[in-house]
Amino acid sequence: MDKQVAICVALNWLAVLCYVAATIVNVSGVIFRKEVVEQRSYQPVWLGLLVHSAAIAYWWRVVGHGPYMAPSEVLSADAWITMVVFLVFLRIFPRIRTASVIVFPVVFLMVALANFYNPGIRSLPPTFGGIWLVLHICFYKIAFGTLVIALAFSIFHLLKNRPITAAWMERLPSLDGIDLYAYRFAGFGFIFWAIGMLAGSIWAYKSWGRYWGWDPVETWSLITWLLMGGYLHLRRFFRMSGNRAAWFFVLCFVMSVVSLFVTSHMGTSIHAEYFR
Amino acid sequence: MNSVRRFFLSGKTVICLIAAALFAITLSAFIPQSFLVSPEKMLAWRMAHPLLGSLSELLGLHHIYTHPVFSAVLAGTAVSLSLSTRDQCLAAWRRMCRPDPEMPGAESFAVVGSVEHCSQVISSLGFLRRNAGDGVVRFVRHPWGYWGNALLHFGMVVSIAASLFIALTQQRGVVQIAEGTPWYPSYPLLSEEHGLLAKPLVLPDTLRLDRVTYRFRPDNSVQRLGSNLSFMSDAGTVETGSVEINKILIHRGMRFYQGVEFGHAFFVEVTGPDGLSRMFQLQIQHPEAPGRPAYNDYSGLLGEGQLLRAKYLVDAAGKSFSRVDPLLTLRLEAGGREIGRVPLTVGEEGVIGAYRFRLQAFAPWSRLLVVNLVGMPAIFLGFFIICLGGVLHYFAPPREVTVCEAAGGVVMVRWRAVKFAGFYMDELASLKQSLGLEDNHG
Repeated sequence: MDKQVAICVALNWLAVLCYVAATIVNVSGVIFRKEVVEQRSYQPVWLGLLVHSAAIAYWWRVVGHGPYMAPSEVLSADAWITMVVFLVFLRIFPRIRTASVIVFPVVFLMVALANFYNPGIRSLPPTFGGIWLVLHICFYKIAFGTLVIALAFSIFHLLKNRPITAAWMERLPSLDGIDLYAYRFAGFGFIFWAIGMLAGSIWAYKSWGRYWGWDPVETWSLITWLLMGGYLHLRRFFRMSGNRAAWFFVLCFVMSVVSLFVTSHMGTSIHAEYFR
Repeated sequence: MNSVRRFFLSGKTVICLIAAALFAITLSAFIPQSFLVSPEKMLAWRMAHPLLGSLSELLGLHHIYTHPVFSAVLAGTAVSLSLSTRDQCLAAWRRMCRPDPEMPGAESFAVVGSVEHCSQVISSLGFLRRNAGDGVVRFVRHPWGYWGNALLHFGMVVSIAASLFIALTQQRGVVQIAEGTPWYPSYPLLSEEHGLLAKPLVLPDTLRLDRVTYRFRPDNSVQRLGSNLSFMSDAGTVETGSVEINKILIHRGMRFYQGVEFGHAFFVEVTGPDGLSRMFQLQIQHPEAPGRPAYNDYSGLLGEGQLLRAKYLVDAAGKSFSRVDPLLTLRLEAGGREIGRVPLTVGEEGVIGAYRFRLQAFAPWSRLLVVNLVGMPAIFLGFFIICLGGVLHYFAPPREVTVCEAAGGVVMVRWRAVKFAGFYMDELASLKQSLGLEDNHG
């Protein structure tokens, strides 16, 4: 057991090392406007992702269930999905490239944080089974990944919309462009969050006959979703944009972090099993 | 009528409804709700927060989800969503069938060539040819995207309506039953809940738990849990079935779910100071580890002010779960003071104060959730429509292109994205490139 934990932790630290190297190269490439350097930062990212995938797959095999119970598993899997989501969206929308300045550090910090938790083997309760649970978890993780990208653009907006800005910010899209990307990815996050919530609801109904139980995790998840819905409607009806929209989204993101990582400690329910 | 419509569709109303729902649900996250916590916990909370407690008592904040104000918010949301859905459906239909010839916000550029050649190129890029009129050829990519927002909101209407219907008509309850014992339809169910339009849930037949099947992992966590059941009708017919976690049993329209709680029930004969003997069934949840006992308290069982506390080990030696030879320990308290305790195995008896306890037998018990509700398919349909609408709205906004001949032997091409145009500038660039134009946009 100790040997298995050691292997997993070592692989995770190796992944962190790759991500840190990628972050340093990427940020320096962006700040000093060296496109070649910035492009090269993706080599350690792919290597890190490979090692990270190996760590997750190895631990999955050891514990016999997916990475969604212990805090170390949850954080590591969230980081992995965030990186994959970013790389996938980067292929579809190349203009989001600069979001890497935020996404890469977020990813390595999450993996590093995962390593500080005890990665002991957590058994899966018998109710934790079925395709709907897998969809429920996957979509929340994907939602978190898209929200990180939206957060990156919201932060960029706040940084770039100041009287004095750093020269490297010229590499970012225009303020309107940044604002649009933040809005768009918040929309992606909103819909993935909804799908995650609805899949969870179906899982709950199939497991114990109640599709909504108002436990703290469900309640705060709904609050987060409504808050994001409010953000999207404010943008649509009242043309809310710029710094106000950016700050509002930061609030939405903080709420999503609370929903995903804090609320499972708030009470006893089926959700309390996760991230403890 | 129009003013009412305008009111419900105005941005301010929509934001106010979202804010009101947010406020109410957030409040419910901080103030314990009576349907979620036990009366003891509620009392403890009130003692800890006297001011907030009396305020929430006054305003009915302990039952927010059944509060008239919350119902009004929900009704307002449903009306607003319904009207919005109707308008969005009409708009989507209009855009699909009668596109705006003006194409506001469109990017225009001229290319050299024929309309037919340009049309072929645009079709090859995945744009669908819609119609041609007034010398203008129209194309669209992702025409179903017009329906995205309408479907997203319609899905919410369906889900809210179905949820409301289920809340009003649902029946649910809990049966906690020991092996070999019957549960007659006349017995009241535990934790019984029913909607305003429904009667209390009654089992259709007498239920008997024939066997509880369970398996543990090496770390003593539960791997599998199930119950074999018999349904005995008044006519004398017996139907059997089994239910497991994640494997539902449906009997005469009622859904039986296996709860996660199970353990051992102890049949204890108690002889009181008056010499009368009574049989009690003490159900205790299964211990988490062989060496760690499981506990349960029974207040009022032996009379006012007396508390009977019970604990048990599955194996008296505390070594494993596979050997079932339970050791039950009973402790009697009065006025918070221990009177005495007695350990019992099957067939043994002991005395605490004026009471004589005899452990007659034991049997496994399990908890079954019984649910009778109609309308779940509508909820799931609503979910599906929400997801479909969301995906169409956010991932496939329609992009329109028109091609027409212009003066000077050139072809005028116009492109626009119905939503998030700035996000699809690469598409515009590739369109220009495919039509033989250099793109100058950065």
